[in-house]
Amino acid sequence: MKLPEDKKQRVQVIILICMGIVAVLYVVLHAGIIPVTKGLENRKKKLSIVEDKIEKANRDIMQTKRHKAQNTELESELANASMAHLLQHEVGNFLLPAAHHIQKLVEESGIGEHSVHGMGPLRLRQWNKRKNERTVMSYSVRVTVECAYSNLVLFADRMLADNPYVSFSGLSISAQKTQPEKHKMVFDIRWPIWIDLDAYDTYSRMAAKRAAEESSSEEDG
Amino acid sequence: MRFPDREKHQIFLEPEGVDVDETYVNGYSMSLPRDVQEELVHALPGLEDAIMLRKTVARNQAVWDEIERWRTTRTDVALLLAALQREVPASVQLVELTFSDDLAFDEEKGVVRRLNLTINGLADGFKAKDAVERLTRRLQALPEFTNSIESASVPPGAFAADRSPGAPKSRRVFRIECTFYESPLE
Repeated sequence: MKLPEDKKQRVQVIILICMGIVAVLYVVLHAGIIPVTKGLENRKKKLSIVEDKIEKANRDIMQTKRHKAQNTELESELANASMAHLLQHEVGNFLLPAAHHIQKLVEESGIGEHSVHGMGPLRLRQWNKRKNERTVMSYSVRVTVECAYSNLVLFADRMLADNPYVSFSGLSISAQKTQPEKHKMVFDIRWPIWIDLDAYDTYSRMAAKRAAEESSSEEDG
Repeated sequence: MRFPDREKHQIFLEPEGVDVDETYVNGYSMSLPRDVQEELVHALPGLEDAIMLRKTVARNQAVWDEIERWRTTRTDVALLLAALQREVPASVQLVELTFSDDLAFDEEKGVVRRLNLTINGLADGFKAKDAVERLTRRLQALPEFTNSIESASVPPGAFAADRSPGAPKSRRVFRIECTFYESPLE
């Protein structure tokens, strides 16, 4: 393009061209570059949110195996505790198995005659209020014997070693003038029991299932 | 219920990963009680044996913790009795021993074990008081006792001359009372 000869006109044309360039740059900037940049920023933000979600999901997925292993271990421990340490019932009766267990330990400890009375499950008012949150309550029996102190120590040792959850809820030892070698003893033994009797069956089934799985995996191995 | 007039509701079973057998049940509202949730999930064809893994872990853990507290808070009575038998001085004769481990409710701690041990006995000889004090000190010092016993003392007036008929003049009757650490059971 040839610029006019006249100096004044030439300056005017140059100014017009510059203004035109500025206008074009303004339009390009506002209609093109800025929206594109903003769009990119928004997309980056969205991408970062999605990436966070994916990372969290991956973490959750990774934890599933741990949860499964943890659950398997817990169920196994609960099933073992239910079968071995929580007092089993016989058609809803807890006294018979308790008396049977005590009879065995009394004989092993050299204690002679004894009597066992069921004291029933302990129902604390506050436990009843929150029974939905609780799964275990206590069942106690009262044992009356006449024996030497050392026999009682042996009995208590075996009772507590036999079951880590059982405890003595009461104990009274009185010396007898007529029989110094034998003391009159009354003691209460407390077991945890499931509040829901169906829990015994649930955990028995769980233990049986676990045992079957273990034996089949051994066979496969 | 949001749409009681509808007979059908569509849900999606979304596998949580390629190698994972955990499934997300999409479209199933779970603001219902836990047992109802399980019933609903088991009512779906193919999900009869499904387990709600994460909630099951949390619930099983809570049950296990509850049972374990029975073990961790109990007092080893056998250890206590054996140690007592060993530590009673020759001049002291135990006449009566009463131990109780009661479950009680505390507003702050919930259900707690409250234990008490009371020992009634006779002590002979001019050093009777020393012997009873020695036994009390042992109850406060030896680990077999201090693991569970917080304090042991002869209350005022609980060491006195034996006034029963035919008792020797030098014989004393005494009572030692022990308090235990309180153990929360929940």
